[in-house]
Amino acid sequence: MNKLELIDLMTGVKSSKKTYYTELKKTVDQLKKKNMQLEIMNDITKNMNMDIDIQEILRNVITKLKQLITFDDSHFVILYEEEPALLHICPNGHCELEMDSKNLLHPFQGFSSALKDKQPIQVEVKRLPDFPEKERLLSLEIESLLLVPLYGKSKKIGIWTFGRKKKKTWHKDELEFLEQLSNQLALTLENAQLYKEVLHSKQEWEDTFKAVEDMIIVFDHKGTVYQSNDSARDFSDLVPLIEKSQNLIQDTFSFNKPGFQEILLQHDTILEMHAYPIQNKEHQVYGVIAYYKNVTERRQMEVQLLHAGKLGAIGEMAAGVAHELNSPLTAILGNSQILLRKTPQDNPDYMLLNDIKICGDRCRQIVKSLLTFSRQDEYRFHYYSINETIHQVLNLLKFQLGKKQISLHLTLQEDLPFIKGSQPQIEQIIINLLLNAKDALDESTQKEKSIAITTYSENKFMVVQVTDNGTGIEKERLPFIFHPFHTTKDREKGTGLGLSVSLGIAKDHGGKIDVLSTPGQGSTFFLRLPIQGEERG
Amino acid sequence: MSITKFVMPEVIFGKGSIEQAGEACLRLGAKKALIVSDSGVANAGWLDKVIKSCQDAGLAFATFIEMTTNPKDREIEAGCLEFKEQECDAIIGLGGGSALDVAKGVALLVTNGGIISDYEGVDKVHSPLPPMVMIMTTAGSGSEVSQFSVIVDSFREKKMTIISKSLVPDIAIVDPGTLTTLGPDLTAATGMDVLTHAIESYVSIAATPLTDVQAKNALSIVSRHLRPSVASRHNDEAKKAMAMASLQAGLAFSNAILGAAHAISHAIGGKYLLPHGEINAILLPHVMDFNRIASPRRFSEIADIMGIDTRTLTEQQAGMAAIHFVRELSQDIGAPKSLSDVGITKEMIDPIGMTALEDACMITNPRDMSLEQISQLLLTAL
Repeated sequence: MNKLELIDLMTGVKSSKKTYYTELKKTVDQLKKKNMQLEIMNDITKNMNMDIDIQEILRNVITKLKQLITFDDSHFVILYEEEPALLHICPNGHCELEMDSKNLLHPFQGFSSALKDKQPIQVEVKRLPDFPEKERLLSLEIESLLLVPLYGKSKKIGIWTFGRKKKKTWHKDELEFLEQLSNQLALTLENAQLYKEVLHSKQEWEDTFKAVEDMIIVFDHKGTVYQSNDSARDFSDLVPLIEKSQNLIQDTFSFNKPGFQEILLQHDTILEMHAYPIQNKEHQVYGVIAYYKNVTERRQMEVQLLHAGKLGAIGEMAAGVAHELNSPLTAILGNSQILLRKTPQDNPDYMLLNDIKICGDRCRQIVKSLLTFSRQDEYRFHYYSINETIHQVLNLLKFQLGKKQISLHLTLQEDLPFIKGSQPQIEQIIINLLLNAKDALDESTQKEKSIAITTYSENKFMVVQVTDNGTGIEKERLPFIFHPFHTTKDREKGTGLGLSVSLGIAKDHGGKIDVLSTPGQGSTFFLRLPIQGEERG
Repeated sequence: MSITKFVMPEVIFGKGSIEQAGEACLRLGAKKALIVSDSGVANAGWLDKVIKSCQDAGLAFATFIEMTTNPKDREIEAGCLEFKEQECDAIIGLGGGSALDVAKGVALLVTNGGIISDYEGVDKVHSPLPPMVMIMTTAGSGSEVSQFSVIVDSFREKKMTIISKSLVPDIAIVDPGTLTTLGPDLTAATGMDVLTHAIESYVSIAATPLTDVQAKNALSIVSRHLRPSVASRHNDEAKKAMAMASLQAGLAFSNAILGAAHAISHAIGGKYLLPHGEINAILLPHVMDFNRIASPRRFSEIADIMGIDTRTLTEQQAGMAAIHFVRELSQDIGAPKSLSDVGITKEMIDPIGMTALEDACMITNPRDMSLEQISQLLLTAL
């Protein structure tokens, strides 16, 4: 500094005392600027974790940046498959170009050198080679263009351009801030991309989780539900289910091994539960995932299949036994009849012979039942009246029932159509139902014992309803009453084949037998047979 | 220079104006002031007056009086620490040049940070200083109105001249009453300093019509009132006149800067810690003699202002008469005549020249000065 300059500093007009006011104003201005810079940075960082539209972020940033730095035009040129593509233009409406592979920008030297050197560079628009943007920039009277490279953690993302109408040079502070901002923005762009991928895969997992029809529940270490899928949430008995799961969950936590159990809920719902431990990186269990499969229907089907299998085997065996027994029985019955005829009734042997004959008859009846059960005896189907059938049966049983002081109540719908089937077999079912009712009343202590028989049509079925006010059937026994050889009666009285055979016959006719029973109050059996024909009785 | 500038603080002048200190500081927006002074001033009772004025005004305060003559950098750092610890927000300087320069130094460091040598030279201050009220108790330094602070760099053994408009205090209180407690030696030494300020700023190459008025007034007053002021502690008229002379000389040199006498005096004072006024008194006639040819007219005018009848003299003769007047005045009031009187020997001269050449005051000296010329001048002054 020369002498005159020094004198000027000491005594010249420009040498002024610094005042708090001006310094404060300067400081406030600087703070405002810094605040705005921080706000912009904050905006970018804040949006980093949200699934927000990138265009939206860029628009916000540029709007705020305009208050801080003077520029007339700004673009984001994002590398699109190694080619710079124009992603966004601001101020809005300045350009019609959109990110579209048809509108790819032809990169010029400046783009690649800014990216290569990782440094902002300033170019004069007039001197640029022709590319689609140049025309637009010139029409906006943009004279100088600043190219700021956008770099993510590792890869180059693109270029951020700022156009100015006047060839004003960029201040060092502005460049520094733009560099910082572009770094942050590049990271955000990169993260947004990653975030979207993560979100997408998370969504996929959630959808998968949702799509599973079986119940999936994730438990935490306290055994409380941490997460569950829709089917678990919709399950009506969720609370008892979770209660019954606790032991296995705790075991899974304690032993760090998958476990399995069956859970029986109300209404005979059966669930298979698999529990798997969830481990963190240190192999510590922090949760248990429980998978529940409702196997009620499958079990029922399995039981039915088993039933059917059993029936098949029994049928075959029964048929064999019946055939084998038929010949000796014929001999026993024939011979006993001959002997009976020859023996006067006052002969002491007469009673013995008569017993032989009665027992023979009884055996033949059993053999006949066995053959029916095993479908060995064929019946031809024909049209018959169900009410008529009931009357025939009652003719046979009226006496027996009357003897036991059982009153009969008949309510038969009169205009029922004829149905097609084997009348003797249906007779057998009805006999069976009436005899069961009689037996139930035998053991009952009811003062007025009654059996009600009702017929009616219901949808496409004809129903024979047999109700007694006898002992009823215990709930636990209900599922088994149709099983072969299931009986509660004395050995001499029942074979345990009655209902099983009846059900077989009903099914052969396309029908079914249902039962409602209350222990101590009685039972109602419903024989439902399909109405096929048009002939009416 | 066709455009000129004159910077000065608010000035409160008059006997008893020291009692305005607290109120003045309060007006500047202060809540707690650090009063920077020295033990001599405190013993004379002026510190108590200032404290009382603060109490009366309801202004909180702290005091810092640990300092010596020729203010050192470490004293400023200590003061700065005190300022911060006491959470002060304004400075009251009370005393002679040393106390006021320390006060300015403290004010400078508390807002600008760093160490005091960072600000040596011209216009290095970047942040405004806290409000400053300066009360002078010697008719000499002019520091209460100047943009100067002269501090000893104890490591480099030199006086640093710090010049910045930011060092101009906000309010200067000039109370002639304070001069009544000064002894004759100090009155003489500081009075010679005023004379040096007046003459150097009048012949400075940065002098302006505005500074000339101040310099001439100061010169005229000193010529007439210094002798009576030294002679009696209780000559109120002389004290009032010297206080005014000191103030005006201060305004003059603050805006026109000084010359070789001060540049050399700073160099000697910094190295050997000798009283500033006395060195100036010894150097002034020699520097005037050296500078005379640069502006014979101005030197002749100086003689005029001093009251010498120059009508029959040439400009050269008048200039010589002025120098003679200074020597006579100096002798009358008992100021030391030569450097050897204050203990300087020939061997001690050599290191002084370079330091003097670097001093900011040298810039405005009317005649260019070489190292040899400084040595020659010092030899003559021995």
